[in-house]
Amino acid sequence: MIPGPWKCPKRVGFLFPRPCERPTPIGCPDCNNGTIDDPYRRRTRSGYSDNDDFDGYDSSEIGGWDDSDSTAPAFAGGDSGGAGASMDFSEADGESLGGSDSKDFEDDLSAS
Amino acid sequence: MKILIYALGGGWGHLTRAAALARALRPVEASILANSPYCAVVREAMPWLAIESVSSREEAAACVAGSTADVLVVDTFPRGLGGELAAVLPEWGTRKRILIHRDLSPEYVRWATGIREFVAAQYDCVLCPGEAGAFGDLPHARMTAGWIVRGPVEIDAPASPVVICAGGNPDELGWYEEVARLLPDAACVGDAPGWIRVWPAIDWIARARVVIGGAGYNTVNECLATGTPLIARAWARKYDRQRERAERAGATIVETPAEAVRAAREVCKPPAALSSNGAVEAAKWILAPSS
Repeated sequence: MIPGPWKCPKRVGFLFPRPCERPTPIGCPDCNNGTIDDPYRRRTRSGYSDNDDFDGYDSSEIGGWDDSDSTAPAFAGGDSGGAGASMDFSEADGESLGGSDSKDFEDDLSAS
Repeated sequence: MKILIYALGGGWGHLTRAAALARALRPVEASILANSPYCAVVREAMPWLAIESVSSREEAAACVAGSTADVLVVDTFPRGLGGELAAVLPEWGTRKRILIHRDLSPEYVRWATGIREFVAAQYDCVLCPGEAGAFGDLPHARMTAGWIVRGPVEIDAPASPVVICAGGNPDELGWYEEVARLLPDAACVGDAPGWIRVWPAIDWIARARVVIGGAGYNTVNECLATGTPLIARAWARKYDRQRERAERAGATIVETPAEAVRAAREVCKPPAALSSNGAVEAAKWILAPSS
């Protein structure tokens, strides 16, 4: 029996790691009763795995509207985005996009 | 050109906003990805609208990743409701990506480390539909007026001065039912037994003297668009701030059903000029016995 104050320190999450904080690993679907050391790292999902990369994506090609389409709004972007903006995110950035506090966002598909 | 609108999220708001955009985009082909329980209702009301229902993050991610659309429009959640778009968006390459930036809880923005940079980098344009959250100041953000799915049309039903609009979560229905009990003449629109089940509610809102409802995006913007006073119960939401929206809109904010009823009666009270007609007072003077 795990004492009450104990909180699981392992990382869990779909795309972004967050502390598990369950009071016990017993019955935990993420670490499979404590047998998986890093549930977040072991997680795979539809179409992706830990070995996926996005090498085929050229950051210089991202952004910008089709200027030949005269009806398209001219959202050319600026310092922080739009055409020519930095596009260096990949799945690996899930590590840095994870939250640091304990509130669970991105866990409830019925939220609004 | 084909457009995919990602509109995951509970309730009516995301789906209705997506429907409003799809309607405005016609004849350009737009399809909606949603997980609202009301997809069937919207399909029935707008049969021309292509709505694909999904039930999991994995399914949503696969739909977006496998889409051949030229433009991806993402409603509210920059990296998806479940975070599932973070890995998918870079794969869209040079195709346009638009974020519909409704209000978003600052708590979520703080929690989602790096999300501002993610929005700046991953989206070609941030469209703020009459309101905005933390990303409304980005250089590629553009504010529009509030979005409504369509203008009101005449309906063949007796008019009621008070319309109760019960959107929101099932556990909030009791509050509206209590309001309805206290206001037996009110028209009650919502997904409840015996209530008027209709979408969009704007036809009923347009002809009301006053609406009692929540402060979700649709209710507030449909009241603003039709100039109908709103008495709002601001419900707690995970990502949305109904109180701030109600305050911005100038709604009367209430907590209890009794407060809502009092406020509605105040709005519906005849104007003072009618209740103290000077001609009536003059007639009394004229007809009074001479002293």
